[in-house]
Amino acid sequence: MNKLLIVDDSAFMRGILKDLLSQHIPPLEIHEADSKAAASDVLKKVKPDLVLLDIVMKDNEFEGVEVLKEIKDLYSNTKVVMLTSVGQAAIVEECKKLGAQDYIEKPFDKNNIIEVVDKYLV
Amino acid sequence: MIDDFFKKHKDAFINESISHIESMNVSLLKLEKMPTDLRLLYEVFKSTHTLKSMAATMSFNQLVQLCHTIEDVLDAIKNEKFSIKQCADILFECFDLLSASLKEIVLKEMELDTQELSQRVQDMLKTNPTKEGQVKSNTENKFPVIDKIKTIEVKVDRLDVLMKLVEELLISRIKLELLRETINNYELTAAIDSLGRHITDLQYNVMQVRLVPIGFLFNRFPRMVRDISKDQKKEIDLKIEGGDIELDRSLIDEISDSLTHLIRNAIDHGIESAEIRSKNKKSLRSTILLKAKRTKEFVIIEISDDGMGLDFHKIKDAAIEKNILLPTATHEEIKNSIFKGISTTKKITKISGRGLGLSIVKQKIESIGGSIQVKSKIGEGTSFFVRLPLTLAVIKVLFVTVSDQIYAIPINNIERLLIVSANEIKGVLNSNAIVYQDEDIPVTHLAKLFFTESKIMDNYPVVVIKQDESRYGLVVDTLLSTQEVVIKPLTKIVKENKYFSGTALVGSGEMVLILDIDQLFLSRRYKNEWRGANAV
Repeated sequence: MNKLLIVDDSAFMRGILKDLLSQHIPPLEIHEADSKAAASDVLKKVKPDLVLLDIVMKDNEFEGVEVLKEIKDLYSNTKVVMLTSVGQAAIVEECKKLGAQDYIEKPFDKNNIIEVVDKYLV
Repeated sequence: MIDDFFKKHKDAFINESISHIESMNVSLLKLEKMPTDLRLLYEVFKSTHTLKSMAATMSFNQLVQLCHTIEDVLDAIKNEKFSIKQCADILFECFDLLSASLKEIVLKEMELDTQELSQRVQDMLKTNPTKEGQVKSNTENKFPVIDKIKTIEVKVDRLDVLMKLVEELLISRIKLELLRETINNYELTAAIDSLGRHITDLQYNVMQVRLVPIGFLFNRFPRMVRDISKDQKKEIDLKIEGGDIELDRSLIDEISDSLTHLIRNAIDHGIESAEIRSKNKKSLRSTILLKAKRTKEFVIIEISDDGMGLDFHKIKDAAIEKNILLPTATHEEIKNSIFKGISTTKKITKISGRGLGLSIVKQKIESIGGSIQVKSKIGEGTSFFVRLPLTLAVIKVLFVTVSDQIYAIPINNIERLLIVSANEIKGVLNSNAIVYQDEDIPVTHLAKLFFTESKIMDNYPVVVIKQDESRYGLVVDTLLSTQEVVIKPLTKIVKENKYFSGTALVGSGEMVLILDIDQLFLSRRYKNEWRGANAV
């Protein structure tokens, strides 16, 4: 089973993503984290195949970037898709340099999410 | 609109939307007072935008439209077409309509029409603002803001009960995990795994609830420092840093006396009198620094003064006189002897001087799984570093066996596990060593320390222990598993043996002793042990 990690400080966003992806075929093992610290805890136990990662968390512009670094340090072949908002082009570029595969701008199209997930999960 | 999707996400949507609207209100209020602070404008924009994308996900198109309109106003302010003053009222009106619409969604699962207001705002944006011309807002039609209780007071006792229950759960989980190994059923395994994850989450969250900013404790000290220093005619500034670092509430209670003692010591012994300071060309005002810092697994509290520093020669003489040290003692041993009840002060004041204080402080801190270190330079000052675990209850340990007994080693202390063949262990000078990362590191068999027989084997498991910059190897009979365990304090009999810091409760209800690595390496006996001929 492919393992997916959702990192977002918004419970609403995590709920939506989990809901959309719980119907994914084949089924995914979904983990979630609401902060850098929580993500670290999950990453200690689980090697995700794909991470959906919010850039700005808890009002910290760089929390997502830090999580990205941690993921890539631990598991270089884990794919990372950033969840972004408008006006974050600079950070997105930075994230791509740090190894993020792609980004999805919020609000996102429900079908788009599944498409992107499928693109990076073998 | 009223479908499963909506029902499932409604609560999270409403809660987060309310807090976004709240922060929009707060930032705009500040912005009114500080109109040039563009960061505040950006804060309002960020929350509005997040709210907009959430509303879009939930298909609340009226909300989306209103948020969009708000963004247009913010843009106009940013581009200096309009001033904050001109737009504040209408923005607040928009925020109120957002709130009212959320309330409607809660009650009737329908959003309010925002057309009229959006239109009015758009019309306004098309006008040419006059200098003082304020945009008219519809003040008669104020919508009430949804009030929501966000914090409640909880009795500390109840939190303790919660924590106790979590501990019980952890113990039950360990029992289940043992059962799983004997039963070995896939579905059972999956169920226990998921239960385990939930227990970990619960434990984490209960711990979070129990956290208290250390500032609560730190804030007691300015007054104390002021009073004592006045009494002693010393001019002292107390600098406090890291008051926002959070610590388990029970730890805060436990360390309060120790910190008081260390700070009193600093004022009484550390800081020199004004005459001596001026003679030594030091500024008359002295500083005591009280600082908390958080690392991944610890909180470190530093208590520093810029006083006279410790005179290690005097300390050494006093310790030798009291038979605490041998004349051959290393610097590290001399440093640590200050925690063993020696005093170099001749006079005993009402505040300190008996020399017992520091040993009590050390005992106290170690009893809660912490440690204390001192650094000092004569003439420049003294720093104490108190290292505390983030929480009292749970640590991760590695179980090992030695002479058929199980012991636990805290994971924090372990750098690596190795399997070393017997002929790789060599005698270097009078001790045994193995090559680890191109360096000789000393090794000894744990059995030697416990005066039991070690097994003769071809290959030995070695636990590489990390102690500041040094590495040591502990040879054991077998390595078992790692586990999170609930620590219980030592019973009195075991307390006599200083190699153990506590006991771990394991699944069968048995107690396993947890090695106290700090003690193990500081003790002279240990050093003698590994000067013995054979490590294994």
